Amino acid sequence: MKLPADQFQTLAMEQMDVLYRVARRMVRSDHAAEDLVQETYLRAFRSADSFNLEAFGIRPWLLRIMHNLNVSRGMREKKQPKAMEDEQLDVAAVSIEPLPANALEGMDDQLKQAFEGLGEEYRTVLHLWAIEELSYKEIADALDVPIGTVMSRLHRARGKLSNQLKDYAQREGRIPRSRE
Amino acid sequence: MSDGTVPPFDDPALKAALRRALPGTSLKAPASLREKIAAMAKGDAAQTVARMPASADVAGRIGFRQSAGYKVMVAAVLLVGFGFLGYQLYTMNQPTKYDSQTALSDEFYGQMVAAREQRESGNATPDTVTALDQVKTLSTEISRGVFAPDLKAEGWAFGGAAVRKIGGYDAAQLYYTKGDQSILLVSLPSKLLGSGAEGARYDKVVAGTAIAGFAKGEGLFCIIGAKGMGVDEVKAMLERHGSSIVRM
Repeated sequence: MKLPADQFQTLAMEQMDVLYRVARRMVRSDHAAEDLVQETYLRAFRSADSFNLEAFGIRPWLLRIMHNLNVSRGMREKKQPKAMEDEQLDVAAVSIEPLPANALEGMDDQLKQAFEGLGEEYRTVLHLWAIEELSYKEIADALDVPIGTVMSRLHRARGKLSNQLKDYAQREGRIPRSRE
Repeated sequence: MSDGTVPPFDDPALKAALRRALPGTSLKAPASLREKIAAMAKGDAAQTVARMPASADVAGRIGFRQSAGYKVMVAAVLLVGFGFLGYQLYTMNQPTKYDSQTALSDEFYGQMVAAREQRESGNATPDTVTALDQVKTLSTEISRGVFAPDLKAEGWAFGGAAVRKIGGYDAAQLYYTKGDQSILLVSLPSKLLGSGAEGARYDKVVAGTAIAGFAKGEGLFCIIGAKGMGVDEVKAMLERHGSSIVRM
């Protein structure tokens, strides 16, 4: 379904807070995030004729433009040189020991620190899933990857967080110490 | 392994923990950015470029800056920009107007009112300055100007001051009393209103309390009125004393 220009603009403008939050997570500076969002909207307005509401929701469509823009600017290379090499590997082959649900209680600072230490792909996918509560399909559309890759990244991100938080959780007695 | 064999992911506990731990879950796009993009959307630039066919798939990948569409858009944006500049020059020469569109969030206003009430009820952290001529020390503390008028002639006695947080920002807070009434003058950073806030003014009545303020330089200077004071009264006080900014 093609939208009239004014309706398209209204829908697009409603997503600005989401785009700004995701941009802040991608580039980590207010100025760069504003710049990224502004250029995303420029491109979105330019591509308005090609937007199809039934094929894409407006939110993943805008996020996809922003994601592609961020990639094309080369920011990713600076921040995360090896982020993508393992995303298609077998999830089961990775040593992932998710922490028990109650182990995360009271570990907000450590979790935030561990999150900030993740590569951009993982931070972005976790943000879209946990904070913006996008569906897997929407995340896949936004990042221009298959749904399986979204799952894979989420599994891996959780594994990385768990591994980083495990020592702290053991020291605090939240989980039993593993045998040496 | 193909993507199709990856098991579905679900972890409500992790989701809840991330929502708790990560700052900015309710972060809003700055007002200045919203205005820029809204202007873009309404302007000729957006209408011109919106008619140009392009694929969403390639929107982020093509050599956008080299395309004719981009040049047309830049020209149109410049046109809109010059129009905006002309409008700014026009408005600069108009009488001062209060513009509630530049207002802060309701939550922030609520915190400003709470700051006055806490000081009035004695629940705020102790004052660090007890005389008006010592207020310069607060300016040093926040590295910004402090709104510090002498209101004695209007019957308001200076009751003390300190730097305390409002909405996470350091704010110099000056407390004045007249009988059983009290007002609080706060000096916040103007970045709260986004970039390009110079000269912006606002006024608001929150839970029966009138607030008015203006941005100048790096400061956003506000009066949180006493209960029962009208918003016009607070605005008039701001107009009379707006130049009383003390610097380190």
